[in-house]
Amino acid sequence: MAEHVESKKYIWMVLLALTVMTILELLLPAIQGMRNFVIFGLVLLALAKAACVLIWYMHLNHETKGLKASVVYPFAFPFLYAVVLIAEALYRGGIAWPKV
Amino acid sequence: MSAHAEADHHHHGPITNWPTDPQMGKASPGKIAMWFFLLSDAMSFGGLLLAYAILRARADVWAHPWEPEEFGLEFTGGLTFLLILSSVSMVLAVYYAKLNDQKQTTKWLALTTLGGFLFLCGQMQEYFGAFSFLFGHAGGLTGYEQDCAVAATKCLTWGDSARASTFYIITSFHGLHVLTGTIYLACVTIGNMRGKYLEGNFSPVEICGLFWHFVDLVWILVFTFVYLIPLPEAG
Repeated sequence: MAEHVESKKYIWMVLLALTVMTILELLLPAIQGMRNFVIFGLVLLALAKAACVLIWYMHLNHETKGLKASVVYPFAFPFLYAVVLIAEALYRGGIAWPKV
Repeated sequence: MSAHAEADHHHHGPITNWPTDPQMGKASPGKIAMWFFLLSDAMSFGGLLLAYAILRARADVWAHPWEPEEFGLEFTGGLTFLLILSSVSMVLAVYYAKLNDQKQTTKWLALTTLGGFLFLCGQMQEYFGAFSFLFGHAGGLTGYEQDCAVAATKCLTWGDSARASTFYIITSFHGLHVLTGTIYLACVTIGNMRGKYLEGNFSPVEICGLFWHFVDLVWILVFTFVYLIPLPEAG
């Protein structure tokens, strides 16, 4: 069967990106006095790494619009739930914002 | 009988050249099924991570004095990198399966299986200090059998706190996925050695790859939320 096989270059590029981001993740928590910035940076790096795996290693970029939408929209829901549920939990607890 | 149906009727092996669907393209039913399974599995992990986030956000005391402030970041960082490397070997296995190169596919599948096995060993070291003869106390939480409140060293015991329980539930649920993935990979490796995925029938390798990459993807999030987000600074 004639299957399009692309170059292997992207595999190494993504590995490089994942390695750099993992090193940054391990360095970030050492920063003192900027905890909110550290948490924001860590979450951003985790989402970027997850997106790299999803798009290039799971080859979502090769799929049709329909399949991409079927995967990406449900994946996005837990993040929405997180914001709503954490805010709700804090409201019930009478706490201003996460102590984390 | 349509041309496709007629072709399928006379096809004795697995169907590899799927007709193009307007919504799903050339994705095989097995691949679509794996995507749907992964989505439902993502909801399970989402639920666990949400419970963790809510418990942590509302806790007056999250880390108790007898618990470690962090969970061996260098050791777990190494395990994270190991999973990333196993994802790379999995991509290479799929790449060579598409090229119909049985030998290379077997090699990369076997290396991916080894990566999964080593990750499980790392988790055993973390939970039980199972490989202390190699790593010393590195990564070990040593809390599974002792009363941390009276132990000489800081440790994390299941049931002692919300922090400990969520840690063990989330990481062991992920570990169960690694175990499943490693067994799955071993089966696919054997199947490939027997020549089951030749002549364009690479879909089973690709589907196994989807599962394995998902295990890596989830670990990326677990590593950040459970291991990396620091405790509030003292004072």
